[in-house]
Amino acid sequence: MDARLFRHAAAVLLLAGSVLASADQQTPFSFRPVQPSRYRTQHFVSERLATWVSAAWRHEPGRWDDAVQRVAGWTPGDLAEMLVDLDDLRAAVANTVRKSDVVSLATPKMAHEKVSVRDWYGTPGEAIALLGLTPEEAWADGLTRLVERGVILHTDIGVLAAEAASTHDVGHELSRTSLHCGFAMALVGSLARTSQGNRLILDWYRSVAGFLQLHREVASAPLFAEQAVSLFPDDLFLLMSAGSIHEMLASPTVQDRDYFTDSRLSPDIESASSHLRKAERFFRQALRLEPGQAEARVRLGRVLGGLNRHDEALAELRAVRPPDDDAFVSYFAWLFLGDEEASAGHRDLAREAYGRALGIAPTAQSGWLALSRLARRSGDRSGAIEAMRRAAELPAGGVDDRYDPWGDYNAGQGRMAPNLLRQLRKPFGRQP
Amino acid sequence: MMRSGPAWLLMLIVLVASVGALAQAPTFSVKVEAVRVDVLVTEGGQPVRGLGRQDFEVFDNGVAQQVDLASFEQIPLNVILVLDVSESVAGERLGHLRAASRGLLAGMQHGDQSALITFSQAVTLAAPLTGDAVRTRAAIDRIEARGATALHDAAYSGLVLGDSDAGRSLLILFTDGVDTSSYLTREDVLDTARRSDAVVYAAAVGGRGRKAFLQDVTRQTGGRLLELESTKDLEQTFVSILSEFRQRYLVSYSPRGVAREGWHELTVRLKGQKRVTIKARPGYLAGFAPDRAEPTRGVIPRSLGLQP
Repeated sequence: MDARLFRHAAAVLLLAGSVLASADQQTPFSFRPVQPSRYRTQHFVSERLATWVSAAWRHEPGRWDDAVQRVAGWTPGDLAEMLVDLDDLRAAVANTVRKSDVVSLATPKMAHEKVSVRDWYGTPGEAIALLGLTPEEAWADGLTRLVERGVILHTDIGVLAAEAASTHDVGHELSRTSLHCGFAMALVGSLARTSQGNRLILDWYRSVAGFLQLHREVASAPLFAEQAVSLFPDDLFLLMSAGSIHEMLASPTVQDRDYFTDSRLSPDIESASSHLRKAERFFRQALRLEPGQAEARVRLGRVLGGLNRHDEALAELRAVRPPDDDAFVSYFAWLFLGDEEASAGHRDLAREAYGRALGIAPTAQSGWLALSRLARRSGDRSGAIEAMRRAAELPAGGVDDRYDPWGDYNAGQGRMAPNLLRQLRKPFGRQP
Repeated sequence: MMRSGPAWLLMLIVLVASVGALAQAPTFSVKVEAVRVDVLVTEGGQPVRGLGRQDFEVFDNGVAQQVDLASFEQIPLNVILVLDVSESVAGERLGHLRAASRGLLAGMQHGDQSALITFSQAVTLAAPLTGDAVRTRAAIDRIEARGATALHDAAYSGLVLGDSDAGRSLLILFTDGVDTSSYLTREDVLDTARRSDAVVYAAAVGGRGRKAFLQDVTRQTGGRLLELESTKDLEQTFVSILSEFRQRYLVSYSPRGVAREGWHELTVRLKGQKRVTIKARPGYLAGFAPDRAEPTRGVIPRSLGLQP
């Protein structure tokens, strides 16, 4: 399947997930069919569902195991049908089949024959057996646990596919990431309506939005992050995540038309100013929640500078109190302050700010290059050369001794994603 | 081959200009006292030789200038290799890149200098500008491929290094990708290119339609972008770049009748000749960045103990 089809299907799944998550449903696990008519046979449905249920139970979190391999290759169509299957299964287990659940099956043998879901699966007992549960478990939280494991299964497929992307077909693997993370989001959406305060949901959105940003999944990362914020509007982490994702989308690297031709992924990226305005909104929301949040103010300052609102940017960056215990944030507080002081023509202040940044990360190439650029623009040719030399010279310990926080800046909250994913998987057993 | 003037005289002028610049360090004058333009003149694809300063017409912002010098081949070169050693270069490409770089060094002449800048997600000055080709060759042997692509940071570093010496600077920029990790932007690099005398030739491998930055930086410096299908013939490409650069004229003039600062559009022509093709940078930026800054006094804050 080509990358375009994957993207399209992922978008459909994302949309379906969003709709499902926001629907006001009383019954658990109500995955409503997207299409009113279905062209399937009983046997086909059972086999796919049985495979999925088995994979969800057997999957070892964090591993590309047999369970993953049985499901990872499913098409967008397979996964869309799975949502329907799960809805029907829920109805069968709950034995809550109503007249409205009578569906129209249109197959070559049974043209438009009216068949109830109960008839389709047989008895509720058979449906429960398909789940690998006892009736008691099914009536308790068995279905919830199954769906949660399904979330982990499909998240792992998405995550492991992205991690493999550097050595395989990048377009294909990243599209699979969108597809399976989109399916996982649809499953998470069903949990949201029945398990208020479920920690898994919040943890899932934090880790997956971060992971997608870390891997520059520019097509789906903003969709996940904004869906997360709509569910958890007061979560500081998710607000920062959404803001920094839009900041990444506004970055010259992503905006550069060269970039997507190279990777063969060409989502509809909005203009830099459009993404920066969205980022501004999220960072301001974060600051309303926690006015002392240094990273939000640093990023807000940089975003305002990017929007050519330099006076506001300078005011925000001057107001930052760089945290002593967070070198990452402190480095950028000084670096971006230097950029804005330079932009305002305050070269001595800019030089001082860059120096403070380099005091935190002495081998950071970004700081030395900023100094070099400042010198060059000032007409200080020898200063520009000297700072460039300092940027490019190898530390005594070689390349591995060189650390530049800039390398992690556009990862935003995604820099914490590996740890968050480990925490997410932890309740589900073994992981590498 | 025409010798349009004594090479030693030109070298002396260049040297005097260099010493003058150093004497004013760390701040150089906003005055543009001499403008140098590397000019390639071809007819039917072949370089035109035997031209003197009386053959050239130079217009600075439309104002005709008196050409002081038009020299051919006598001036030693500073050849700065700026090589992409990101992960995608690993394997066969890296082997070709090493061979091409060694082949280029073999074409260096007495008085020429070379330097090596490599880049992945970071830029490394692997060999400073030196007349000792052995040192540069040793650095070439040590390069390894890994990481992302800080193309803009590397191009900026190469341009700055090119301006560190009074000689003619040729930047050979090799990449097989697009920028993915630079701190500096495309605009930062192009601004530097417009203020630099260095000429950038870029050799880019693979992909379609992803050369916008390389097109811009080579055009701004009067160089050329060579798009390659593979690295198989990279050595020949590097050698031909050096050969072409040696066939360029160095035209020099002292601007008259134009404003000192800002963008200066350049037009170079040959008197009475319309069939020739002339390649030169389209202009140059002079003066400081447009703000009301106080004079700068040394770039590295001494109070922080960061002095080298």
